[in-house]
Amino acid sequence: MKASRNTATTAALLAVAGLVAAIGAGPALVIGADHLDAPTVKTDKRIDITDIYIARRGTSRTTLILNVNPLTSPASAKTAAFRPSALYELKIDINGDAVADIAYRVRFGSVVTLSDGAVRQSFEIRRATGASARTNEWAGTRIALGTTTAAGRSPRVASLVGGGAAFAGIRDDPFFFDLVGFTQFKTKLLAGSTNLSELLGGFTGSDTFAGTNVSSIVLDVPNAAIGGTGRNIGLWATVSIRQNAQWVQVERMARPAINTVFNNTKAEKEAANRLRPTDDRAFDHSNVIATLDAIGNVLTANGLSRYSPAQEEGIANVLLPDILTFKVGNAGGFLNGRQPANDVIDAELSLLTNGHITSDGVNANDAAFPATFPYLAGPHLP
Amino acid sequence: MTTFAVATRRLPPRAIGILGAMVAIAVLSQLVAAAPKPAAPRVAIANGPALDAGLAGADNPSADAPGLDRIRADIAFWSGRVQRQPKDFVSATEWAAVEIELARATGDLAAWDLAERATAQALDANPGYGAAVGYRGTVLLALHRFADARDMARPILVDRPNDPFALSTLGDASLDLGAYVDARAAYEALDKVAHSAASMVRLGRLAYLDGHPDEAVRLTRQAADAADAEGAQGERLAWYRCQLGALLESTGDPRGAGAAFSSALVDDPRSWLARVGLARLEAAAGRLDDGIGHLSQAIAIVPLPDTVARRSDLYELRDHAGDAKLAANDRATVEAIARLAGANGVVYDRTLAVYLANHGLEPARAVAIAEKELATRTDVDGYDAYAWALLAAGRAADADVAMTRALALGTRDARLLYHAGMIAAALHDGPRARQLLTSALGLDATFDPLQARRARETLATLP
Repeated sequence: MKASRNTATTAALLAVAGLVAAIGAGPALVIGADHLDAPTVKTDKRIDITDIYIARRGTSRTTLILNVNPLTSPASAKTAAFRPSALYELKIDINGDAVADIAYRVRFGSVVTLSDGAVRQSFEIRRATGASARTNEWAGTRIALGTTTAAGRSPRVASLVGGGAAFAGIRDDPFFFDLVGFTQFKTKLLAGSTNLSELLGGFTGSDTFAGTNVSSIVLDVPNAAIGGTGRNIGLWATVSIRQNAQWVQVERMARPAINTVFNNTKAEKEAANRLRPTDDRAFDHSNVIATLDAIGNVLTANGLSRYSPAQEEGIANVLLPDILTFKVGNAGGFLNGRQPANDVIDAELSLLTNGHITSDGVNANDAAFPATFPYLAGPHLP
Repeated sequence: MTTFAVATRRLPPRAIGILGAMVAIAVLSQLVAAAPKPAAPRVAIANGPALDAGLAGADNPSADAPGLDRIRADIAFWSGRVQRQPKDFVSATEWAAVEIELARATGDLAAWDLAERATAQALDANPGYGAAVGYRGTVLLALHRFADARDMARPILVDRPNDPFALSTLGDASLDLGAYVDARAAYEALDKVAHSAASMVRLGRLAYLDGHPDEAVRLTRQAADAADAEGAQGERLAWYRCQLGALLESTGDPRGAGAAFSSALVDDPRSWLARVGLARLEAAAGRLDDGIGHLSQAIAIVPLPDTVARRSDLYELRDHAGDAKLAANDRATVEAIARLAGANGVVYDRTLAVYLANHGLEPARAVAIAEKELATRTDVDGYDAYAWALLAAGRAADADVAMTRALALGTRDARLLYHAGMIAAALHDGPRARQLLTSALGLDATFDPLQARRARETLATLP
């Protein structure tokens, strides 16, 4: 769950990337010299990461998923695309220093419209290692060329050099969460409420993302390519765009809800999206403690046990840096990696509330997850 | 001679009443949708042969040209979700977004109303929700509720001083309210926190109003390029190109303007703004048939009174058999559209006042409308409209006072200078009238075919 899903105030640079509002009348456009309504300020959903996933696939492979384009409606599924000029990256740390050692990089070609109005794009995937993996750049060894899967078509699968498979295209959004209820919960919490029934009263039991789609990048990679079976690794994703002849990172995401829960101001969310994981403890530590304190106050007021300061410190150190940790080959779900079917919100609610709040009332995705690659359900279509 | 024809079908000139215009929206949109798409611009990216092949033509905007069917399906989808869960601020915000899309594509004022309702519902469920704030700002500005837009943005900026949505809303509202110092502060802050097409085009507008057209062109050109680089598509990208086209036209570069408008039509085949721009250029070049053709297409897409009034002028200028009747029909349509706009008719008030003054119709009514607008909206164009209406009503001295206010920023605009010149002429200030009218025609000799002709005729009579 990304900041934009929860607050709709996406990163400033993300906003800049799609901030295409403008002012009123050009001086010569209207004879009456009247107001001319400008396009709406809007973010570019094509570079707005919704979620990432990492999960065991059999004994020798691991699935990596990066989703963008939140809230794509059935009618818009046909024309949903990745941003051609953007650089999508999945970063992997294999030695626990929160610095990327491996990067899978994806770029997309121009949008081609098919006879039924659906669109597709070519894509290329590169794999970079070492120092090159740490930066945001279009470098590395090409490991796949492919074509996105247009809406309504069977998945097109590209083979990866060295083994594995790749997919890109529109899919059902695998995320399930009562965002409407959570937002009311958080608003009341930040307003100082300690009344549990009031705090929890806004949950609706409905999955806000049911019936909507995202644009997915799915990779099945050999375990050997990401440190080997049994290794503890960390995953995060970034999106960068070209500005002044440089790649500028405008999006970052790892664990669900970190930016949402712990960064309360827009400026904080914006800054977090531009940082690297190694910056997280310095940037976010106090926010994590403050949030845990606020929740602790609610728990205390209701006669429930709260975390001790030492425990809060421990949780902050687990959650930061914001990396989705995973033991390669391990079948356990979130917090070990993240499988699409994992109820991450329940897990995080439980973690944050010392086990006293265990569910948002939404426990499964609206579409079943297929067992075959790319493991995400097809898109909702009109 | 440069021509500005584009590869889309043209409707034959014909009388078009308000109902006809509404029907024609649907008809022409189908024609336009069926027209072959122009070749996408090619973008070279040097990243190795395989990728080059794949990425050439990246960001093809025509691939995302708006489809009214898709917009209407989205409206049904998101509004249905809001109906089922009234607290669903996410769906309410998406609903607002697609209502705005519909409003911009068709000029349907009812869609603005629904967008207003949707944003209100989203913000009721989640106060301060950034995207909803942005959309609400857009809606309020579109409905000419400038003070409401300003008053919504200000408290948000107290909490989040760098919020780009609130900054752009505050700046836009201030601009229309004539609070140029506030507008500049907001735009400069926006540019600082989010240097972008959005900030540059706004600063360009201010530069134009401040009498620095070259700077305005530079900023607006950068904005159009930036919008493309930022991934703007369809109507959004076309809008930027049209702003550039209009500026180039008004600063004596019709060839550049034509390229900008034609490019806008590639981005968005439904761009009525581009068609109006091309019509202006064709008319300025004396090709009245082509100008009328472009305007007819624009009217079929969005029947705005501005455009209909402009076409009536071209009919009058062409003066073929039957043109007088066509012009009269168009003038009746202008009034009908404003009348049918109902409670939202206020959005056409200024247009109507200038239209009446341009054609010497109901001068007292023109003054009353312009005066009413000035009560809440004291911007450059507001004073200009008032001055022009006062002159039409024979109140040249009052008009001169209002015109002085309109020119207070030093704006170098042919239409403003023409109005000022005509006022000076009415006050028998020959030298000043000559200087102003000469300046107006020097800036843009064909700023408005009918009015430019009047300017030349008046110049010829000056001592």
